[in-house]
Amino acid sequence: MINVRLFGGLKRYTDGVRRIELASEDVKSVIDILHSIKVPKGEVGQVLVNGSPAESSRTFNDEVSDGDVVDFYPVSAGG
Amino acid sequence: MNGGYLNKILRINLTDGAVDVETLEDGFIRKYLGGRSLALYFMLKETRPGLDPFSEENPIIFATGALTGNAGPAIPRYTVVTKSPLTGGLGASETGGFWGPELKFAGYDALIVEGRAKKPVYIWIRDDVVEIRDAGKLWGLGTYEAQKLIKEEVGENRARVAIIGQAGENLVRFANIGNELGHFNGRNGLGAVMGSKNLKAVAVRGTGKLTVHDEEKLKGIARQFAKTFKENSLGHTLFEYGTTATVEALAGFGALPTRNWDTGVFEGVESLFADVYNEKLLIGRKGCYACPIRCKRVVGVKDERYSVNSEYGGPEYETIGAFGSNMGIDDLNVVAKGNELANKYGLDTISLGMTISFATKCFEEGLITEKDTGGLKLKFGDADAFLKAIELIARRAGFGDIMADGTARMAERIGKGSEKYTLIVKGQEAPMHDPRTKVSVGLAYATSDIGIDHMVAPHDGFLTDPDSWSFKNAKRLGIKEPSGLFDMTKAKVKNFAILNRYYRMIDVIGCCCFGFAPRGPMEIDTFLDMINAITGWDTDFEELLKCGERSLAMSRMYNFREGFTTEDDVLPEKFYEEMADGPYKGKLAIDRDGFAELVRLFYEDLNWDGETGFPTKEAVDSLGLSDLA
Repeated sequence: MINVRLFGGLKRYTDGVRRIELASEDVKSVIDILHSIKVPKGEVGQVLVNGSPAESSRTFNDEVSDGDVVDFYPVSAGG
Repeated sequence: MNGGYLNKILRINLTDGAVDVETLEDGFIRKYLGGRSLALYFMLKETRPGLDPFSEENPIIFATGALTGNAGPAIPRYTVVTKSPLTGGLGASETGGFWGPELKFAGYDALIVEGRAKKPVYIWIRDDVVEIRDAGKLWGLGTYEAQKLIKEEVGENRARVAIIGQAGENLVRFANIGNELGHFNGRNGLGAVMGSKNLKAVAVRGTGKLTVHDEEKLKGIARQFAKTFKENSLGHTLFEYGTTATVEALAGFGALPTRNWDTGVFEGVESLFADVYNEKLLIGRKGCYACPIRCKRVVGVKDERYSVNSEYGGPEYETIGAFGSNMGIDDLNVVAKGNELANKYGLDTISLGMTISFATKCFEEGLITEKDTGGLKLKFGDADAFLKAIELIARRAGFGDIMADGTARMAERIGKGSEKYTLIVKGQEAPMHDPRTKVSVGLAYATSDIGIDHMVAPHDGFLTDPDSWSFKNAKRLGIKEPSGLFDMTKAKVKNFAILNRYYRMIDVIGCCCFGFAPRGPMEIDTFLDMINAITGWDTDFEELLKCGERSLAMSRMYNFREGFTTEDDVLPEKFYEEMADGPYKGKLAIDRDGFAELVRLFYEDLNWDGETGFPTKEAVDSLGLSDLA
């Protein structure tokens, strides 16, 4: 299982649901997760995989595996 | 024709009571757009360098933009400009709400207040009737009580009131000016300049109607915006959470200012999250004139110890950061109470939170003791001490008298190396964004005319993905390449320089940056259509960005006249250090020399001299500013 957590305004894409479990057979990378939960990558400001940053390349192609906790944070708006 | 504005300035001298209405030349508003640029024109032309901000000679100018008050979304804003008692340079701060539109309905694009009243007064403007009225019984009152009395006294409940609280009266150097109790010209201590003039408030009621170039087109744009703004992620988030979801966005970087920025990782962060806010505090939503977004919060507190008057606005992200994590406080009820007190007394919540956190840091490090604080035991996480400190500052009572001058002056007074705990640029305290995690915010912090400020360009996250809504819109402004959050590249500077011009244009024309592309809901060409529908100018982004550039040059001319140099365009020391904790622990220190080079490239992009940082003669001439140089 991949444990996905969504923060701030990103929850609009999951009808307000904050935690989602995805089968590890279905998602192999961060971008797979985004496709699966239909979050546009441009809305994502930060991704942490097990607490470590995974977004520096902005390709979101970091691999994920069973048991990982993947956190998605929105772009920070300021103000 | 000139659509959407009046070409009229109201000038009031409080020393002799003179009231004049001046007509602006045709073309003036198209050249300057309004706001900070309009005001700077008069500041550069009519004031001499080196004025004491509290002197009679320092005017305070309330300036709308060409679009302000017209019936479109997110165009309610106006700027208050004066010489800042906090920074000693340009004092300027925008706000939304209702006061700016009302001034336009009364028939004026701007109000210049000069001189000083002998005793407390307020100004009452009802269309072309202008009175300077006694404010003896209002002096010493908080904003809610004073505003209520003013509306009763003028017999006009629909009057809009720009007002100061006790902090402004007591010349607290980070006192603000509010309107309708929940909208603030927050930064730079503008409220103290009103206080120095014995001016409690400016109440306005206007019955005029603004004429626009193409009313049907404007109506169509407004209708479409109201129907669709929530489809945009920022529009949706602003309605749902206001700005409070920023807590979560920054927590993901370990970049939530905590305990005077000792770290960016706050153990109580989840108690400050937006959903907790909505569940615990939110009882309603409010907005600004003619704007459907309604990003302002109405809050109630169930915990009786911290009950609040819901007429005051609810805390926004900056306040949650400054009063919450930055003070080590994880209870949103306390944040809401602090916010109510700040709004009642008229205090900028950013400088207020940062000043108390600085004092608390000095106390915990033993640089000051109870002897210095008059018995106040300052401690991170201590709600009572924090709320007490606010009261002391507003009244300049005891140790509050020292805190009321802001952290730069406090550090000088305390000495003992305490300046290492300040986070200031040009004398102003840092807002709640860590530029190590978004480098162009660092450029904004270092080069902003009003001292450190986070609202001078969209933050870096909007320009990292070439496929995003924001990047596609930004391309229309001339941005070519995306840049990563931590990049220290020419593309980073170029993108910032373009968007800095753009945001300045948005500010001075009267727009709220939450409404418009690149990040806001209104697509970029529709925005241009709206400007043309209102003004009839048939303008384009080339001309509009030039207006932004002109405004930036004017700010620079003013600040250099007041003694600022390139040496003031630097970051607080903290940001040249590695992150203390979180996902980027031990990383992201901004390279000092590399950053200085980015600043130099920024100057050059604006056609400012790379070494002196001053607009070149060629820039001044091409922007039509020779008569102000």
